[in-house]
Amino acid sequence: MIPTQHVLILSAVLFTTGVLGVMLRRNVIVIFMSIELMLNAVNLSFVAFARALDSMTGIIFIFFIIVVAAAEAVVGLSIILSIYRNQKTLNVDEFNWLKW
Amino acid sequence: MITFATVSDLMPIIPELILTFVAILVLIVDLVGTQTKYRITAAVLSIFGLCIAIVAEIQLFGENYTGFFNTVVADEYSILFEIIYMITGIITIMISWHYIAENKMNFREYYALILFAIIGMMFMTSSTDLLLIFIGLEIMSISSYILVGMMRQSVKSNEAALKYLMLGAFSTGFLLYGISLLYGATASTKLPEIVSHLQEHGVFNNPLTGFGLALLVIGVGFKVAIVPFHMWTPDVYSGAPTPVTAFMSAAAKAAGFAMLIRIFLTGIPYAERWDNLMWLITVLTMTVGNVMALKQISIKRMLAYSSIAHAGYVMVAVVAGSEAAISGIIFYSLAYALMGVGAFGVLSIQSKGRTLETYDDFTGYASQGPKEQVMAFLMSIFMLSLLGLPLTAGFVGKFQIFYAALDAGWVWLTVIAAMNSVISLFYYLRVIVCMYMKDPLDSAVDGNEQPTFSSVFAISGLLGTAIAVLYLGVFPNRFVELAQLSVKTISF
Repeated sequence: MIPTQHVLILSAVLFTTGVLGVMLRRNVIVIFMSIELMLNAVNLSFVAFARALDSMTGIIFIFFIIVVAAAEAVVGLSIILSIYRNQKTLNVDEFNWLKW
Repeated sequence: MITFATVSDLMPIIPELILTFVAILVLIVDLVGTQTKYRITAAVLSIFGLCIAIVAEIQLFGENYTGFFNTVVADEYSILFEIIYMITGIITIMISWHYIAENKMNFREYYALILFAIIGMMFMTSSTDLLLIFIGLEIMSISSYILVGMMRQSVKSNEAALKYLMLGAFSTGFLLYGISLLYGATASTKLPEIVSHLQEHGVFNNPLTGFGLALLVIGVGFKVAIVPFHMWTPDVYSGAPTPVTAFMSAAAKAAGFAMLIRIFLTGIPYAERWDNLMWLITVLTMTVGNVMALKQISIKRMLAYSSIAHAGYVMVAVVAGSEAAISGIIFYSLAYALMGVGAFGVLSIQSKGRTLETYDDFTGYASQGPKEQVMAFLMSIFMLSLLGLPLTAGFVGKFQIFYAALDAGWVWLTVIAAMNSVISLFYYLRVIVCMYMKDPLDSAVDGNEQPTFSSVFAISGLLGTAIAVLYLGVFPNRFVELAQLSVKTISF
């Protein structure tokens, strides 16, 4: 059996990768994927804790995170679609109508 | 033996059920009837539903129902906050109808989404389980993402929605990771159990709990826009349709603070260094908000920065953390909800076919006609209240917060907060000076326009808001007592 610490370290690494992706990438879709990566890293840590603590709460929590992530993806992709229709680009550096 | 939910479990969520029903009804009802530009059925129905829900809340007041294994509570604290959200919702819908009809987005989803957002806020406030708080938060956030991007043809609205969604989802990630670490350390997502575990074992003895709480602060900080996490606020507030900005700055922020109080101020033991960190964040929030508001040319953006500054004043009370401070936060949330909605509401009403946004648009505003005169007067009341002048709700709120902070021994923090109020004098008064003491620019179009029914509807909403602001400023006692009473119900 894989020790809990190893799973937690993996989830921390995945979470950090997601955070860095959001901060460093310039394409909206890739940023969005990085956010999903963060949420899935959280799911992984919930699984690890739920197994270590032998409690179901963590598992239930994951179901809701998956549902919320799906809802967020639906809204997010439609917003991305509508911004692409108006701007013909997905580079966040070019979305600069709002500044200062 | 597992017992499933019974009818008595539904008692604390009756207002939420009513609103859910009305929101679904709103989605259906507009399908029948004519599709005109000014159709109003959905708006009236939503206001009606909100009024019924407020009545239901008042009936629940003092009964202290709990349901679903104590995860949902209807204590006085949550009822007061929920009434604040619903009042904000009613005013928002009143000012929205005119705006969204003029901007070709009079969809019935608009009203349904506002109702859904309010339902989310209500669950955020009335739950003591981090799982349900998270779900309420997401119901609110996802509805607001759509509302912000509702003006589909506008590039600014698109961009604001995108930024809000990206940073909102980003902060949700932090919030969830924090919850997961807390769950790992305390084996529960229920706040009372987490608090008792932390009181027993201490916060900083286990790296999981300290780190988890810090991540929770980041997640919640994004939602209430305190300073290192405030970057999205000005962009989103200035890009969103103005009534939506009003709604978010008032209700969503109050909900954020309600959640913050529920999670952080109900018994988690903190160490000294935590206080110092929160002190620094508070000072930064007030100062950055006020100083950045000074250099804006757009009033909408100025109000966005000033809402950051107001979050800073509320943070003063969060740092103080006493019972008096929490009741101050409740009062201040109501006061800010009214004056914030009012100020953004004035911006949302067009004058002679022009949208008002910058100081230039407001130059000589008071002398341009009878409707403009009324609007300028209302705007002055809201500005003076935001500034915190006596006889307005803003003054009573600030007074309570500063007094509670002094009482808890935070002298320097109170001094800095007072100095920040002085800075804010400049940009709030500048609006009034622009409206009353300058001549209109040449670009201002002359000529009379007949006030439409929709704009009268919006202005009457603003008038009611202004009266409420003055009433709370002159006779605050009743509500202050309610707030103080309600604080007693949240300590575990």
